[in-house]
Amino acid sequence: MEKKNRKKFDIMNYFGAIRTIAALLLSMLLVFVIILFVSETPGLAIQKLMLGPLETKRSFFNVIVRAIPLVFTGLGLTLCLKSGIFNISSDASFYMGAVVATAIAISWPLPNIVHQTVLILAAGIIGGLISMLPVIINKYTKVNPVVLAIMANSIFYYFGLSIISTFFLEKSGSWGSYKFPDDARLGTMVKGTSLHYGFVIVIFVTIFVIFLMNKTSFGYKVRVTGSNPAFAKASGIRTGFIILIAQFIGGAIAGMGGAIEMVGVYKRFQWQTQTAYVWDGLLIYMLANGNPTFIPLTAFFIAYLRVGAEIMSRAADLDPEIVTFLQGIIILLVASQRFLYFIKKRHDQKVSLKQAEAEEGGAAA
Amino acid sequence: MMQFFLSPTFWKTVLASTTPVMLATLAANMMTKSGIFNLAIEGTMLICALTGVVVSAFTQNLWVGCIVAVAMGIAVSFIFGYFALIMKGAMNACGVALNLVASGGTVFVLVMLTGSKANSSALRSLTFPVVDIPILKDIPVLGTIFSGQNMVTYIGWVIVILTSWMLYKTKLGINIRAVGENPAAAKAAGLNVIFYQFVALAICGVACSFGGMYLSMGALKSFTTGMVAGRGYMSLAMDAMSQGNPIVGCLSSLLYGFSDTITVYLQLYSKIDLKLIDAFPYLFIIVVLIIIQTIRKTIAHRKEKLASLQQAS
Repeated sequence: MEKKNRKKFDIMNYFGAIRTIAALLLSMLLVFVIILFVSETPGLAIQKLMLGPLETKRSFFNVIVRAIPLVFTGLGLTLCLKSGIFNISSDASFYMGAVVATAIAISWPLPNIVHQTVLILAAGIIGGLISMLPVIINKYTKVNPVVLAIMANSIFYYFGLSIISTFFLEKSGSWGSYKFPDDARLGTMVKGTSLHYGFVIVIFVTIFVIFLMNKTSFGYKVRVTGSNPAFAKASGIRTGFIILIAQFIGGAIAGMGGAIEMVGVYKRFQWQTQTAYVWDGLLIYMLANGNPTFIPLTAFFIAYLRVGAEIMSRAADLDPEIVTFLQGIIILLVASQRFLYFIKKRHDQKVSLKQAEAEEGGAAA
Repeated sequence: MMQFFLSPTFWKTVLASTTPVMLATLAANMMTKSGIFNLAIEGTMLICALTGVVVSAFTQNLWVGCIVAVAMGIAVSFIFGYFALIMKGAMNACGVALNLVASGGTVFVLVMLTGSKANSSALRSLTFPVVDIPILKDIPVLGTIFSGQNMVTYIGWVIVILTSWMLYKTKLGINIRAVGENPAAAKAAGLNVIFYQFVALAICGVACSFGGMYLSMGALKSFTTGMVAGRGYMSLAMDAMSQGNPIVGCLSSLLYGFSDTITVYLQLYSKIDLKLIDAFPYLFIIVVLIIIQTIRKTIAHRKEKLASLQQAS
């Protein structure tokens, strides 16, 4: 009897996934309607947005390159958010990671592979330490960590920018640091595209996080602390310690992402504006439903949208910022628990009715 | 170099740059008092700033623009309320989502209307006038500081006073605070929790819209992208400082105005890197927050000790 039940395919087991996809489709539909109203060539715009990245080999690999930093921020946020703290200071870690990587790349001559390893690890440590700050300050001030994290993003952006512009700025030409030496950069992996060896590192980090969150006692402790702090404390987990370590690892991953993006894609430090990877990372995390296994997939999706939007804005008369708008709508729908709740409710009612009937039948017999 | 502390113009600038944060802090206070955590204050201000500019440019009527922007602020707050309270979304995530909608949507609309991604100077929008107060303006120092501010600043002060009167002296305010303190108890006492939270959201929306309009129709003459620049987030820190009290919140937002004005003066007169100085308001506020909260903690600790001593004796 039990075996039969298990085998039976029940679509409601996949309710979470269906809900997410429905939210995606609905928000895409909304954006299409907006495009239809404001664009003079809506067909072209929608086609470029959806299929643009597939047109050339170059733009397709561009999507993968774009997805690399997003996977890093997404994975970093997974650790931070799973521990129950809404710590979105990944941008601070990311930016400072890039700054640290620049500093080491320029000022510290080292042999090829050692150089990259050192600068990525250093960026990771700095990123991790930064990510712990909002939690520590929150303990003393009781200000919401979200606010502190957002303030940290701004503070470290200004701080990092002033480090670059005082110590590493090349005086001639456009704004930028000195060029990185070749032995500090990650080489291109596929000729004729911009894909760099950071891709390999991403795969390793992803496997590491999946293993950490699903197969180790640390990952379990993080999840318990996040979902029920009182229970975690009562069962002897040192919640404060676990939260801090989770923030450190999360920030470290984000910091490494910053370093890899910097030495992988750029020839010199050129980020004059504040990075905004954390919002993308948050969307990726929410679409993946907090499961690190799905993060590469959702990161690819967001990168695809971004590249598609840029191709669209070149071909049609629309601004790529519509994708940011789209992201907001998707988060709103995915976040709201009651979205499509009525389907689940009706299903649950049906199941419990059936159970009650079966029990009655059993009692009568 | 530090002479500028003594000049009345410095303090006038402090009051002027306090205004948007003061209104945002009021919005955050209302949210705390009604038990909501609203990150979307930032986005609401941004949307209202653009709405005010666009509507006033197309109708050439300041007050129509003002009213539409206020209605927009209430609408955006209600959208937040709908998703966070009725659809039971995580408040953090809903706030972030609305901020993304605001930052993407405003740029998109701006490009559609003006063709420029940076600002709305192509639109001939209207601004709130500067108001001189009759008798006050003739008093030497006070006149320079308090008279001749933008009209929104005075409107803001009135809103702060009205709101704090409403919160502490009327039945509506008491109910809102009861809902924020303990929603379950308020529900058991027969209050409609969602209704009172939406009233608070409406007031939040009004405050946000004036804060946004001050930026685009008072301090500057046009809308520029991302012009709220973290003021909405900053207001949440001010709110933590004032613990929900509008009058204290108004005073603590002066800290922001002060540090913001100092930043401008430092950039003019000192040799430190410009970008490093930009980080000053954030650092200043975090440091002040840590100090205030530590003092609060020690006072609470002492009180507890005293109480236990008295019980023992």
